[in-house]
Amino acid sequence: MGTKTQRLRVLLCKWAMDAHDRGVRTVARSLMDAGVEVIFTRFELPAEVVRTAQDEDVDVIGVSCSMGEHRYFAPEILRLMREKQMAGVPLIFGGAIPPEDSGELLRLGVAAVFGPGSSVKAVCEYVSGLTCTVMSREARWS
Amino acid sequence: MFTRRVQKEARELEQEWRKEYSRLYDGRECDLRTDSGIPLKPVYTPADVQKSDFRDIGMPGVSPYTRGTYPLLYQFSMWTTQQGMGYGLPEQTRERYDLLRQQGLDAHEGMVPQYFVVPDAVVQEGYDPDHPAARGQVGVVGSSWCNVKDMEVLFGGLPLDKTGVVFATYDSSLPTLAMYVACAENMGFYPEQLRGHTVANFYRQTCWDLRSFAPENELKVATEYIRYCSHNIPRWSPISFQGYGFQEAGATPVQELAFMLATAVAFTDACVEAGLTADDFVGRYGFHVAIDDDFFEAIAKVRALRRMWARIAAERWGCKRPKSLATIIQTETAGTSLTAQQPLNNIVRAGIGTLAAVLAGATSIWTTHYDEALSIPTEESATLCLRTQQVIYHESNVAKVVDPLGGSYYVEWLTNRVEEEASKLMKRIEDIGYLNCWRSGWFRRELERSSYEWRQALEKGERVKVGVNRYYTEEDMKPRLFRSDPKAEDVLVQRVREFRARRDSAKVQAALGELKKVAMEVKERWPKHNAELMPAVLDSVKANATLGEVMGVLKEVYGWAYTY
Repeated sequence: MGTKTQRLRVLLCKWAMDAHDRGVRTVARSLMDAGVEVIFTRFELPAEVVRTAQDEDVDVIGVSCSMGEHRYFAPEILRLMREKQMAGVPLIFGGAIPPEDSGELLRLGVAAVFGPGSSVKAVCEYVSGLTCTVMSREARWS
Repeated sequence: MFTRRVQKEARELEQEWRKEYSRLYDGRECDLRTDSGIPLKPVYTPADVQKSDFRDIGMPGVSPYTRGTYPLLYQFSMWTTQQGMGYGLPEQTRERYDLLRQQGLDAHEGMVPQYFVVPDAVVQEGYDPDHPAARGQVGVVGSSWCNVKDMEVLFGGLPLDKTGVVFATYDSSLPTLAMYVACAENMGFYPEQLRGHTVANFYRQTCWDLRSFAPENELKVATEYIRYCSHNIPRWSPISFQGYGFQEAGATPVQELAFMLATAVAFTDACVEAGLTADDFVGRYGFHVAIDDDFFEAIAKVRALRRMWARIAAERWGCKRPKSLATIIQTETAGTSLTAQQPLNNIVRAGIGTLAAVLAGATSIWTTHYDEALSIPTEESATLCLRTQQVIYHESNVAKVVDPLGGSYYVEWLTNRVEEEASKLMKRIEDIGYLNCWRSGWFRRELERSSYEWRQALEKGERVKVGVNRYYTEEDMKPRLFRSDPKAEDVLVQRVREFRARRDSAKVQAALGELKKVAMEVKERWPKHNAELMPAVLDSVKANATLGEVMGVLKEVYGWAYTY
C-alpha cells in the first residue's frame, strides 16, 4: 500500500484548561479545506495525546498552546512518543510560543513551531508538504 | 430630533455635495463598512438621525442612559483602572499589585484600589495544585490559590472595606468567593462591607470549549450564587457578562452586544424563575465589553448597550430603581487586536482603544499590554498601561465633558444601527431558545464563522494589520519577556499537602457531605428547592475543604463536560 494516495490524517489537540482555541480551530478548518483529515481533541495529560495519536493512526500531531504549557508538554510528549516507538510521527507546536522557546522545542525534537504571527497558510503548506515524507502507516507500525 | 425644515435642508445639501464629489471622483462609489459589516456613507447629516427622539439620547445618568451611566463621569475622579493580573505564588501576585499602587493605580482622589486577580488555569478548572493534570501549569498564567490561607496571603493587611477585589474566576467563583468571605471575616470585616466583583462566567461554553457544568445546571448554580451575593454581600457584583469572551472568540461588535445581552437576559430570567426580584440584583451586574479595532463602532456598541439594557430591565422585569437600569461598563481593549510582530505597535493600538473606552463613557478600563501576544506582561509593560490611561486622563482634556460624541450625526446614527442589528440577533436567539443555542453549538458556529472570515480577510490582505500583512520587516524587535517562577509549583504543591495534613479530616468530610446533599436538592428540585448552595460552600471552606474538593463535589452533582 503506497502512502501518496492516502489522505493525510492530523491530530490537532489542546490542553483541556487552555481556552484560547480560536487559532487551532481556524487551522483545523483550513486543513480540512485543504483536504486533510483532522481529528481535534482536548487532553489533560501528555499520555492522552500519544494514546489518541496511536488509536487514530495519525500522520502528524499538532499541539496548540496559548498559555505557556508547551514548556511542560513538549518534552513529556516527545519522551512518551519515543517510548512508544512513534518517533517517525512529526510533532508540531503552534500558538503563543515565545520566539526564544521555539529553538528549544526544535532542539528537543519538535518538527516545527508556528509561533505568534504565523500565517494559517504556512501551517497548511507545511502539513500538506509532509504527504511526501511520512512513512506508510504499515511501515511505521511494523 | 431636528425640525422638518432642517432635515429637508440637510437632504438637499447632501444631494448637492454628492453631485460634487461624484464629479470630482468620476462617479466612483465608496465601499465602506464597519467591522460588523454595517454599510457606511462617507458623511452623515441631520437627515440620518431624523427618526431619533432627543429623549432616546437624553442626558447622562438619566434613562435610557445612552450618554452615560452617571450624571457626571470623570469630572471628580478618573475611571477605575482595572488591570487584571496574577502569577506564581499568591505573595508574588500581591507584590505586583503593591508595585502598581506605588505607581499611582489609585492615586486619584476618591479612587478605590482594585486588586483584579486572574487565576491560573488550574484554579479555573477547579483543581488543587497537586492534581496530576496541573503539572507544569501551577501559577503559570495567573495566581494560584486553593484555601482560605492563600486568600490571607493575597489580601492580608488591606482595608477590605475600602478595597475593590475582582476575581476573574468562572465556576470556581463559588469556592473562591467563599474563601474570600471567610478570610475577610477572619480579618475582622463583615461580608456586607466587601466590595468588588467576580467575572463568574457560567456560560463560557457559548464562546470557548472549556468544560463546565451541564448548561441547565449552570443556570441553577448561577441563580444560587446571585441569591447569596444579593442577600449577603450587597456591594459585590456577582456576575459580569463577558462580551469580551465572545469578541475574543471571533464575534463582531454586533454579535458581541447581542450575545452578551441575550446571556444577561437568560440568567436574569432564571433568577426571576427561582423567586428573586430583578430590581434587587441587576443593578450590580457588570458588562465586560471589548474595545475592538473599529473605533466608532466600539463606542456605538457601548452607547447602544446602555440604552438597550435600560429598556430590557424596565420592560422585561419591571425594574424601577435607576441603578437597575444603568449599566456598569467594564471595558478592556481587545487582545485580538494585538500582534506578535512589531510588538511596540501594540502600545498605539491599546492607546487608541483606551481613548475609545473613555469617549464611550466606560466605568472601568483595562488597557491590554503590548507584550501580551508573547507572554505574561512584564512590570514595565504593566506600568505602561497605567501611564497610557493617566496621559489620556490628565493631559488630553478628553475626559472633561461627558459623552463628547453625543449628537454627532454619525455616532448617533451608528448607535441606532448597532442597536437595530443587535436587537434582530437577540430576537433570533430568543426564538431558538438560549439554552438550545448553547447546547446545539449555535453560538460557537456563529462565532467560528466570523473568526474564519476575519482570518481570511487578513490572509488575503483585504483587512490591513500593520506589521503583519503590510509594512512588515524581517527583523522584529524582541522585547524582554516575563517568566513565571518555575519553583512556584513545587512550593504550592508542598503547601496544599501540608494544609491537608494539618486539618481535621472528619470535619472536612462532614461539610463536603452536607454540600453534596444541598447541591443535589438544588439540582433536583430547582426552582422549588429548599436549600441554599453558597452557605454550604462557605461552611465547607471554613472547615478547611480546598477549592479542588468543593469543585469536585459540584462537578459530581452537576456534571462536568464540554458541550459543542
